[in-house]
Amino acid sequence: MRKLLGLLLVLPLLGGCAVWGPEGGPNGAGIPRPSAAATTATATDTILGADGVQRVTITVTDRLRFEPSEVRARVGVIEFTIRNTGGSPHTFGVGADKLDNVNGGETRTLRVTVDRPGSYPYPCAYHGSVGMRGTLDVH
Amino acid sequence: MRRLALLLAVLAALVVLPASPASAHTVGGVGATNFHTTLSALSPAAPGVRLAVIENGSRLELRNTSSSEVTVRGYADEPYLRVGPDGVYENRQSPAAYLNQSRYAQVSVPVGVSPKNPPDWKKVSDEPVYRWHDHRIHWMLTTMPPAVADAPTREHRVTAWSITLVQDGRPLTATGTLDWRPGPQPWAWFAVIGLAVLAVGALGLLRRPYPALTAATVVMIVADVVHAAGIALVTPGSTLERIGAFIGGDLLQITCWFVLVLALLALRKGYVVGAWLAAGGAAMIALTSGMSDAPVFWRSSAPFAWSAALNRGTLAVTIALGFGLLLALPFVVHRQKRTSTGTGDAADDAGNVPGAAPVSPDSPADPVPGHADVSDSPATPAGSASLGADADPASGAVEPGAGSPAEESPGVGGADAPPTPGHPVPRRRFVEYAGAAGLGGVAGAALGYASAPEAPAEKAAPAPRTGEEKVAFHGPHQAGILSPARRQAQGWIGAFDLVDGAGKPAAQQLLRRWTDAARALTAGRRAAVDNLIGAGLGPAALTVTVGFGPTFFDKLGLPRPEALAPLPAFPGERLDPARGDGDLGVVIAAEDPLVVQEAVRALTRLAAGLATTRWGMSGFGAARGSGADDGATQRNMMGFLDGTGNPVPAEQVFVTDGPAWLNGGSYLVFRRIRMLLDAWDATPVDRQSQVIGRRKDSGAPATGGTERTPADFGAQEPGGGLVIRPDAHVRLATPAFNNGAAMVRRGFNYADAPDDSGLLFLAWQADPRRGFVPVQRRLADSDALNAFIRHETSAVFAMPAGVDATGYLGQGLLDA
Repeated sequence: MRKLLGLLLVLPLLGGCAVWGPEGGPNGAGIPRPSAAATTATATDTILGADGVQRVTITVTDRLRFEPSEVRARVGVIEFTIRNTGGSPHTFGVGADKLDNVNGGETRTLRVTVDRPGSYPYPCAYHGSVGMRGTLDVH
Repeated sequence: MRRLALLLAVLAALVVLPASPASAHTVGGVGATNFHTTLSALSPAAPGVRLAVIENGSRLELRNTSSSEVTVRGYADEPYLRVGPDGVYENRQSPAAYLNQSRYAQVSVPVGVSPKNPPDWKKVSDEPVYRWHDHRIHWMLTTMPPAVADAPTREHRVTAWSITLVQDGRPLTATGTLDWRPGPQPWAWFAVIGLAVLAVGALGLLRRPYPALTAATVVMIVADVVHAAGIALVTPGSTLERIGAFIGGDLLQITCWFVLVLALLALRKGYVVGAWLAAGGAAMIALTSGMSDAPVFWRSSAPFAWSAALNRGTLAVTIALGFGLLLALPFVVHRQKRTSTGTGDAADDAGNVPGAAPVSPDSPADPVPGHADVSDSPATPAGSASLGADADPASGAVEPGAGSPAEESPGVGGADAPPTPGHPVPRRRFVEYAGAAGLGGVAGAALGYASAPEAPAEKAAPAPRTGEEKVAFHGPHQAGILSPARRQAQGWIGAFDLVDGAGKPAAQQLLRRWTDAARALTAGRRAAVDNLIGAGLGPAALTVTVGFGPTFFDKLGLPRPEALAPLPAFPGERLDPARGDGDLGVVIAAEDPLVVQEAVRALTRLAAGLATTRWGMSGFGAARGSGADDGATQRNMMGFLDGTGNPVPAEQVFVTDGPAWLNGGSYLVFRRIRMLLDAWDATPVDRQSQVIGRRKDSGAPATGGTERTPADFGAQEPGGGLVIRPDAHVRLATPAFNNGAAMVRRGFNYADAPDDSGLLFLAWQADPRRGFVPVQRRLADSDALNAFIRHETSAVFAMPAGVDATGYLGQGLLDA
């Protein structure tokens, strides 16, 4: 009896998050703080291949992030490889060129030709409104 | 006794086997939460169409009792649902049909499904009502937004959302917000519960505890039934569906109630087994629903039909009585043993066993310890099974009607949801509107163009005089659409009709002549027909942009691009057909009015015998150098900043999926919009700002900030109502509420007569069907600005791609 009661009292303290979900216990106890790496977006450069195509791999997860969320490239042909390592489907597209759907576990590639410098957003059509978006900077 | 043993064994099996009912009380996968989804407005209002946020933000419900069908748009603007008198149809080619089945979209979209494919409608309901997990309205991650994680005790606006419905070709926009609202402090409740547990436990010390235990058990049943009913009642659907959810979702609880009723019968007869049953059943409820529902004490909303206080109160009673009855049990048993056997020690042992270690099964059959042995099991395995289920939903079998494990797990423990504490979370909170596209707007485009590789020689040395400035005529796109970055101060737009009987050779000749003249004039050379109008003046950033109207294709028998349809009629417009449409459209602009007219006259002269002018209009903007900042957004004749919301990158106005000659080109929609300035000027500035949705002085959204601050379309006034009114111009026109419809507006003002001033509205876009047409439908329907403007002429042209140094505009079309 005492052990059970003890367990009941200790349990919420041990894992507010595990028991009560991601919103945690009272006053947000147990909500993980975002790490610095997660909030600082790092821009990634494409890698220019021998065929003149610039390549970059973007990983998408159920954290609803494009990683990297910022890609730098030059004017020309850019080949994106989209690896979806999560469980939810996502979309990826730059301008009118789009991968309509990339299911969880799939990897697909998309070639786009950008002939003007500028900043091109690549939102996920499904999750753009909760922040799943990145930017292609062409210079 | 045997029956009791059997009953307890059955109870234990019930507890161990379907572990998932121990999960929190969730409706649609959502339990108590601090996230609040608010539907601010569905505008314009449509009789019989009712949209509601249900299940604490998990799903949307659309009910359409009108006689006309409503279409819901999916994530790529494709038709997703049709809800109407015939029931509900779902487009199996819309990814939303799959994604919206699950709260966290843990699904796969089948191969071959594409929003671009023609819809494949499948009937999913006979009733004109549908409910779906719309991922635009709720937080999708199992980790918190960074701003919330940083300061969970403060309020946060997480996002604002919009969803488009279409009825009879008329868009209805639902807009709303997602907020984080911290809940109350739970400590007072905890203290009350703790004291109540002790108090109920003390009942066991009474000389005659049974009446008190009976009362406690009755209160326990009532409180828990009320608690469960309050949750079941917010389950959407018919009464029958609700009862189904009630029974299906609370199988364990109902079993416990049954045990408690048995306990009441036993207590009435004074059997000690009654105390066992009461303690077991009550503790079971307290452990399962009590522990997992505990967040209702410190979260600001929960799925419950009545007040939050009743929700918390019934739960507090449940927990207090559940653990209190458990606490009372040893005392009752002790007393019972003492009265029946007269030896206290053994009873103490037996009484203390529950919840500790398994009891050795070899105790001889003394009736009371026998009770203890067997009835021991409901408390211990029950407790551990329910805790296990709480912490590890993946181990549990799926309970029908309780939702899939994937949906439920984030609510209880997230064991099978990938993100775990310590993982990074997405970028900072943002507000996603293309109203925000205004960020950097024109200035951003200017930067992009300044660094464009197209005209390096001409950009290298800054021109000392405005007149010497040249805008590159050659390139992938025609000049005058996005270049120069600052729209020139003077403009002319007109249309030409091919002469009767003119065929393709005539059109070829016309375009060749015009191209050559434009090539010369924009470079500062004289045209083939030199009218000397601009003699002595430089090209002054002259641009000549040429395109084709729908009738051009019909007359020449050329295949017309699908997107180039004559514009539909809009309510309220008063169009003068003589001053609209046309076979060929021409836009000429420069920093100098004479330079513009030189080009107009040159093109008109060169068209002789091939085409005649149908109409032409002149307009103006601010002269270069007049303002401190030439790149600033200019004002229109109403005195408001016009062009703030132009999209970034502006390149999205170029066609990418059309015929070859049009790729790199754009569609131009032209409207001459008369402004009823006498009425406007008689309107107080505050009202003007309401009509537009922006401040007149700074151009900032009515919700505050500066010109470039994204508008907060969900913001409410203290007394209710939206800060940016439902009929405000910016709300209806913003790309965020028009499925991202992106147009670059580069219009000119006109003032032709004292009562005839306004705007020559020029909007460039990749497809009018996704640009001007849907936006204007919405505006024509309910824009507050309609009282002050009148659309008087209209035209649409497909402006082909740019030209190189030898070709002519439209060559790809006419030489094909």
